[in-house]
Amino acid sequence: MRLGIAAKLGLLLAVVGILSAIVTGFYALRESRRLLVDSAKQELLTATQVIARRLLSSRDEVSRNLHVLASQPETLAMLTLPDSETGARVATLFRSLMAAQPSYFQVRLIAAEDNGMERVRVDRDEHGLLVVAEEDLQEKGHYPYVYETLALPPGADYLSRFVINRDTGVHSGFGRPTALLGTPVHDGQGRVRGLVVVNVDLDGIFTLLRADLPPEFQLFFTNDEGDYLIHPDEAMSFGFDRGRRHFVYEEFPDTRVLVERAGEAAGAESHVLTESARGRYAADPVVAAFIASKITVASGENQVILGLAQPRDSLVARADSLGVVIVQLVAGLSLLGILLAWILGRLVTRSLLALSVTVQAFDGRRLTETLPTDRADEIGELARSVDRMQRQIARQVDELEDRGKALQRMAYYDLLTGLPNRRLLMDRLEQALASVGRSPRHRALIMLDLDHFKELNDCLGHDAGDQLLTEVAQRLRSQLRQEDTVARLGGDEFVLVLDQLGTADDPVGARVQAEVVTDKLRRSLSEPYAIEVREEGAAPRVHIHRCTASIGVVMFGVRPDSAGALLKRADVAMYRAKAAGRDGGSCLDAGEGTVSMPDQPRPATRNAS
Amino acid sequence: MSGPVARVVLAGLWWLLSPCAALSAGDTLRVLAWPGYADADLVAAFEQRSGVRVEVTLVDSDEALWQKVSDHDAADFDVFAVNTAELRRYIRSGWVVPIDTRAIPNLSRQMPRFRALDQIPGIVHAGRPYAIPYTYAEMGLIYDRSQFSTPPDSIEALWEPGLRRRVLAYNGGVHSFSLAALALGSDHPFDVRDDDWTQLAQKLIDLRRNVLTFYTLPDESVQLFREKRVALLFANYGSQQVQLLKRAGVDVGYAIPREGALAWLDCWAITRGARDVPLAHAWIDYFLEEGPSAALTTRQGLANTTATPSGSESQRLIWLEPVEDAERRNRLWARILSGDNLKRVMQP
Repeated sequence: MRLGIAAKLGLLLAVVGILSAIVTGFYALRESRRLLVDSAKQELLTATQVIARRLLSSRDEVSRNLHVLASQPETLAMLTLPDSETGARVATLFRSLMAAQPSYFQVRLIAAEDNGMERVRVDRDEHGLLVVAEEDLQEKGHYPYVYETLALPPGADYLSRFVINRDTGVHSGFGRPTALLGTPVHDGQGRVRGLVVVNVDLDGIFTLLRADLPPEFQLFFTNDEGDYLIHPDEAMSFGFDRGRRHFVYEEFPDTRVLVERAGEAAGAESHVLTESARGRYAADPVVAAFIASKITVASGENQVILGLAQPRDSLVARADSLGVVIVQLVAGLSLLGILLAWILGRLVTRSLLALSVTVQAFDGRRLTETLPTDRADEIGELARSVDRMQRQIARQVDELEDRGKALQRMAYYDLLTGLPNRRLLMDRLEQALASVGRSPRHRALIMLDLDHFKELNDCLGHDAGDQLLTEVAQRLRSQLRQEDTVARLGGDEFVLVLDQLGTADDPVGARVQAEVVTDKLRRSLSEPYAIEVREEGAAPRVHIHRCTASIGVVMFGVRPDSAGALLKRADVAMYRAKAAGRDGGSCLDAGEGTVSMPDQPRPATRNAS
Repeated sequence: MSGPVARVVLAGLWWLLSPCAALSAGDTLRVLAWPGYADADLVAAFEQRSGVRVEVTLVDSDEALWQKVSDHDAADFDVFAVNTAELRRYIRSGWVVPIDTRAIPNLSRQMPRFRALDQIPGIVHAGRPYAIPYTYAEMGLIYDRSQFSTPPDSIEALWEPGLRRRVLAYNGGVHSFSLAALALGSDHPFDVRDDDWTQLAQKLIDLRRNVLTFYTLPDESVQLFREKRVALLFANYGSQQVQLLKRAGVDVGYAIPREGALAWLDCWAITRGARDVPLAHAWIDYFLEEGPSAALTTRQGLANTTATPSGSESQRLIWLEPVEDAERRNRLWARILSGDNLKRVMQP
């Protein structure tokens, strides 16, 4: 396939345009995907931090409530001097708090004395709140949350480990994930008298936290060893309680560093942004953020790890919609590139085509004015070159024409006198003779030569002869009409053709006219000639020359004849005249005259014409 | 040939030549064991050799073990570790199947007293053995040398008011009642008579009031012992805990009280629901090899059944036996642990 410059240029530009659009699009897409995933991770981290803060604030709220309970005079009274009336008031306090806090499933007041005897206990069961009877209260002194809390200064909190509640005392909380939060109750003398403890339902708290998350978010919560406490898959939570531990770093290996930091002193919160395609995430990989949060109160746990995961696909879907926009943009840019390339190709080749048309139209003479020679670019340069070339060609064509004309003159005219030469004379004669049949008329052929011309030439030189011949030619020309012909046959021989002498049926009148012309010629020629003579070593001088001519006249134009024969007869007539004596020797050929008689049928011819 | 290629080829040859090659690959062996019985590296070695996946589930009490095995008609696990005292009720309930001793060549490595299966109470039923001894330990007393000028020589030390809240006891109903019975001078700790329940319950309530807390796992006991300045520990896991504590840098002594120490003997047993009985036998055989047996002693401080025991032969060991009513013991124990008074504990 042959491609024009426009096509090639356009194709190249289009390919470059499309390629650059595609490369830009590809990198933009890749980069935007990365940025999206990164920003999603950051969002995830932020969301996790928000949840961690909310978790912390839930704990703070529990803590505030505990302190309110612990600071009530009835509470202390019930520890120092327990009686059923005070117990009832404390129970009412506990009940009102639990009524407002559905995630508390037990609130208790426990004495430091009597082996950690419970003084007041309110349980939640499926029917509501239940104040436990005095005889059903239990000794709790051997539980860590009791002896740990009792060891704390006033106003401090203890947070138990997160466990599945196996305490036979509780009602609805049995078998549920729970954490206990306790605070000591001190008397005025600085003695610890007991503690207030709240059992918090972890499921309840996490259900609340989860409720605010988009459904595709998955929430994780682990203890300081990395055991899952909350996991989207129920079976993974509290695995240690069922004898099969499930660690967060088994699914998210990057979180191992968080677990390993558990033993370190409390410090800034640390986090991990990670991805997992392991196990249950093999089919649907997730992006996840995990935060290890040190527990700042006295606790069986050093830290907890909170995590949020989001399917990677949901992020990539966002990137993909961006990808569609980018693909559209690339396609649009490519189309624009193709269009621009086409226009550019056309612009370049239009100038070239215009130049080509101009050059084709150039005929060698007329210069084209449409060339864009004023352009400053390469096209302008090309146009200027073409223009220069055109001018050069035109000049050369002119010269050629001039030379042709000169050659033509040389072929048909006598160079010295400017008169038609023998060839032109013969042409004209042939033409005149050819028209005899169509329009017969009387014409005369006059042949003359100068008498004693040779002597002038010999005595005064060729230059003088030439001056004479030129003068003779002028005089002959001046004596004739425009339609008559004067030719120089060569040397001093001239031939004159007189056209249209009188009417066709008047041969005598024609002959008389021919004789009149002949006489005029003779008189004119007999006038003296001023010949400038230049001889070597002498100043130019004027020689007055007189000469005569011998003239032979032949009439023709009525009957067909041949040019050669006519000339021969004129020649004969001229020599007869010369023989009869130079100057004045003019001899009229009798041939035509004698045959003028048969001009009789001419009227008929005329009538016929 | 070098590196991973060589390893793969060698592993392949080893697998082809090993007796386990006949076992179907791709299976999962479901093992129920106690902490330290089936360490990950030992399990991995077995997995590589047999070409099956092993799923180990840990238990921390006899009750949890019973619960897991009896769930779903013993179909959830293939092989499990159980002590001889507990084994009887599993046999009675039909959760276990007899062991084919010919399929366990390493039995010959065991000490004579463990090879004589019919001499060990609880293993043989109707002339057929239902378990293979694996490890054993006596439940002595661990004490902090810095808090004792002389080693405690009686179980009563656990009730010593001078040690109040500095004692750690084990959270287990069956053993606790046996312990209380020993403390009260009974010579039949596994067979509580009707008249004795109240007395024993009160003894355990007293124990509850004297202990700091009750532990369930060895690691937990070590952590509490260290952090809470505990003086005396009833070592349900025996020398295993001694080793852990020593490794943790605690200067502890180990004493067998004059009343004698309860001692347990753990065996491997195969469930009725085992999917692949030959594979379960291969597992038991593997753990009687020198490597796993030695690991048991060096890592966990547990006595294995193939080496000479380190303890003194003269000390009185009371092998655990099936108790009269484990359920009752556990029911009462749960109440005691929750803090109930005697009246509520003894409620029907």
